[in-house]
Amino acid sequence: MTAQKILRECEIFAALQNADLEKIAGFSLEKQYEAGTTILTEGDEAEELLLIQEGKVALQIVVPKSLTHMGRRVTVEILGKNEILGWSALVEPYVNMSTAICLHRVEALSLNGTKLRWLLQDNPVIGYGILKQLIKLVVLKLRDTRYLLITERFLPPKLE
Amino acid sequence: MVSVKGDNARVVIASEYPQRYYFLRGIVEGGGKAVTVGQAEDASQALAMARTLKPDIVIIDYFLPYFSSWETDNPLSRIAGLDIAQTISEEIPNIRVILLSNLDSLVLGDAEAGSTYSIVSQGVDIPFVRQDLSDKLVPPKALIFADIGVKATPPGIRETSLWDKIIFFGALGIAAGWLLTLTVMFALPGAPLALGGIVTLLVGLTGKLTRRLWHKFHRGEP
Repeated sequence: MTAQKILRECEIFAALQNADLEKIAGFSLEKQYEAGTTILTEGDEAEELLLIQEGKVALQIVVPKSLTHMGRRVTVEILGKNEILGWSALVEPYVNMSTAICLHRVEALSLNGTKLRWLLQDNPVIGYGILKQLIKLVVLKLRDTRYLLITERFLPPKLE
Repeated sequence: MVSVKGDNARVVIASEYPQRYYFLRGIVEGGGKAVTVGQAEDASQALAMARTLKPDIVIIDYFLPYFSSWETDNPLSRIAGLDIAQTISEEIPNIRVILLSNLDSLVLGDAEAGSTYSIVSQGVDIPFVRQDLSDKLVPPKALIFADIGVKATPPGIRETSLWDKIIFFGALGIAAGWLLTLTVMFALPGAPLALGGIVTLLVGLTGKLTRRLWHKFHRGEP
């Protein structure tokens, strides 16, 4: 599948014109990750946006061990096909908010974060289109997280 | 090399769903060299069993709840597999942790007749035989990312044996040699090639016939 087709299938790029997708595809790269590989590390500079074509990725956040008796890392989400990894590359301070670990062999389209930000700055129409969709995505994730907080607050206390 | 005691590898399986648990148990115990010593329904139980039972291997479904007592169908409450796999592999000495990533996408009831399953990591079947769990193949205190591999033979198509392959190459040699002899110019190499093909074909046919007779007389097969 060409890079443009992959971009077209991704929610945040789906509404763009073909010419715009062609510009973005110009600085894309296909990447593969084997299971167990760390794709992104929490706290590192967010250098790329990844569009997952195949596979599964777990997003983990490090928490103080005193908060959980089951370890220092907590998985907060599992991403799969046609989902986006590394959208921090578009949002200041451009730092990865979680660690991404490949659970099942991943094939992804990588977009250089710096070049993508330049493109959005130089092309406000493209920029608005992408960021509008990105905000929708982030709002959905916030809704899911709030729903999780609400449901688990009314559950029985943890077993020791 | 990790020293082992006894013959059977001791395995704990962590999966919320009974169907998946019995499916995995079938793979683990299928070779007759491993035994399931614990069934964990959530991450908390998996950690407790790893600490108390000290198994050789813990198999964990990535799609696992933190606490099965929490009655919620929210998928975000069922992503504890990786976390607990990391914790167990780091905390418990001499243990191998296998994290399965595709159990949820495998439709267990739709296996074709003749399908066999295995647990595969980086293209290699993981052995559930204690003496095969060497440091080189499956190092202890390791977290292994694995999948369920399916070996299915489609109905109507049987697997190609070595003798079938020999017969095929023999026939190929005969055909190639015969074509070369027709060209006259390459008749000199063509004739021995065809002769070699005939010999290969005969060897393959003899081997296949011998195998059939062996099975017939020693196992009572028709």
